[in-house]
Amino acid sequence: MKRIAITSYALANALGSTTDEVMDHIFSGKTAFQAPRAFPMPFPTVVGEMNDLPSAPEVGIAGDTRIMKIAMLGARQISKDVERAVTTYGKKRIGFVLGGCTAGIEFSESVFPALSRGEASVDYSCETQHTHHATLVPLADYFGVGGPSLVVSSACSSSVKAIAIARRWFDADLVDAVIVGGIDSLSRTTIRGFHSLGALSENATRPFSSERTGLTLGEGAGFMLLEKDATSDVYVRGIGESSDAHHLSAPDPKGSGILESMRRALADANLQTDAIDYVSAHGTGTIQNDLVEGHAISELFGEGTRVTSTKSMTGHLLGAAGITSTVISLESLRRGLIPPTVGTPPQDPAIHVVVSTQPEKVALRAIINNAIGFGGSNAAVILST
Amino acid sequence: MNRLSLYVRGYSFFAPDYATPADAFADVRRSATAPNFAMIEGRLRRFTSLVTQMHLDVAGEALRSANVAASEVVSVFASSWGEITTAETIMRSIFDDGSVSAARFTQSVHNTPSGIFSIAANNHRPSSTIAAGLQTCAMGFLEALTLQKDEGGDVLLTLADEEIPSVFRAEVRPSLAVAFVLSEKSEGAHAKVSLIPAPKDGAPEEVRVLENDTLPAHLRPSAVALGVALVRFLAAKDVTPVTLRGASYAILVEPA
Repeated sequence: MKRIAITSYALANALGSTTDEVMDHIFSGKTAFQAPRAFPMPFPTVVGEMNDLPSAPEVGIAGDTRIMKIAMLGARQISKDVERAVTTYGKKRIGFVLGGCTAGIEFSESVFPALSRGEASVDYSCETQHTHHATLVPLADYFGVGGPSLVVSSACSSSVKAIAIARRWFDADLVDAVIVGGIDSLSRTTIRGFHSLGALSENATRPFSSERTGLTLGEGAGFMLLEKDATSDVYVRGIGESSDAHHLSAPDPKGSGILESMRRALADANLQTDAIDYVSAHGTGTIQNDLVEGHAISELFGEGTRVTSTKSMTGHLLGAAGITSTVISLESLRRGLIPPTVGTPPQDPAIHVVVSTQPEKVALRAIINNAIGFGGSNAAVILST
Repeated sequence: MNRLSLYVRGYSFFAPDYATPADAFADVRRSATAPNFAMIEGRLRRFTSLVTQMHLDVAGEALRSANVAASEVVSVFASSWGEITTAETIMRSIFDDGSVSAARFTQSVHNTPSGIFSIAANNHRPSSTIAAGLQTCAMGFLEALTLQKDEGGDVLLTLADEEIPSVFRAEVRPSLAVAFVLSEKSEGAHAKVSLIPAPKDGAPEEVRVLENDTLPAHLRPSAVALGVALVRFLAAKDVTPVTLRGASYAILVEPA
């Protein structure tokens, strides 16, 4: 593929409401997990929860929802660069692809008892506060873009799939620039749902550890501005997608799906495995995911390949997970610094990769970033300088 | 913009309350009928929502009519509301007794139809699951055309939405599903679908435009209804050129 310049980016999650705050925490190996405050649970767990979210009046009624308050923390950070792109290309040549899982489910949950009782006074609009388009349309309007826009919702691979869709729009010459994003909020449904699956850790997640017990949920937003013909210090170089065709919520034990998406990304980038300096793993901290993904990485890149999982610090951000680890990867390339994985030691001896547990200063050229979702949906993106 | 074109080799329609697309337009209802989602078996059928069943029904039928193997296609599953009934069931359960069924939670994600289809068909190829409000139909065709360009082969596009549970107080719309199998091969095709630039603001439309405002009132709120309108044209062999308007592009459907 023709490389695509990443000209602006932003993150917001429990580690910070600005990209700088998030990166400071990430590259010093700090976490911000706590017992759920907004969603008290009858079982022990911790989450990467964002506290004291500011309101988001710019997006109207949708701004009352937790998801849009979180989204706007990210969106505001790139708005000036988007404005510049609109001036340069015209708004109809700028697309918007948003990855997400829960949309406004948390808001519907918050009023559900009253809705169920038929209370007419409840201030609620499902259309503009619950649905995927309730997040897509106000954000597109806020950015002032008028090209194609959609939500891709393939569970936890969503926001890397968003990059794949943007790339297709560039290939078709539909657009000159695309905003890709990922947003998700904590909700009762997701916390209780992952708990019911036995996938939720009681304490902070410990990806690739022999003592790992599951994932830690988080919430957040991430955005990148991609431009077809611009220059930057970091580029999207290749993307691969695949389907496991195995199970709705468990990875194929052979790891063939994630292996295929990584292979396809390499082929798309026209790179050999030795061009990749480290793997930014999906790394959820569940027994099965880490084992399967670790095997797939060592099979493709060789034993001893450097791997990191930033979910050990951000938590699992579901639809925002892929864009979050992608943005961290691009910052990693810029800094020449591999972010650590917190909580791994002792590493699972059955996983034959080298998990970076301390920040490592290394000259970096290219990173592959994995995203794996329910439904056996896999995606991998390669970034390079 | 590059003009991308594919041919409609197969299509299908399903609605619990309507036997045909024409009945859907005329709002002539039948006794509610269940979808045929025989392509999935055993445990996978458990907790499967109506919207997923409808996606699978129309996917299977469209692929059969196109004589295309389910294991070989790339796919796009488009739905504005996704697993809305499952979301309601889970919320009700949370507030009733605090429990969430693991199996139901597993099938609560928007890409449940895609995941089940891939398992049932042993299909390992890329699959997209998208939503875009009333633009869902046009965006579905856009994603299908661009995905096929990058991946090759045939592409399956399904569009489905189920009735929204009344607790959510949304505008009423019927459960509807359609599917199209698009191919580079023109032989035996029902129509040609192309990605074209949108007319400039103020410029006269060259062909008639299909948009929600032109639909019967009971179908206007539905993101799937434009797909039903296309199937209606195809079934009547009445494929005069028509466009679905996107934000900065249009989808032109014309005789093959």
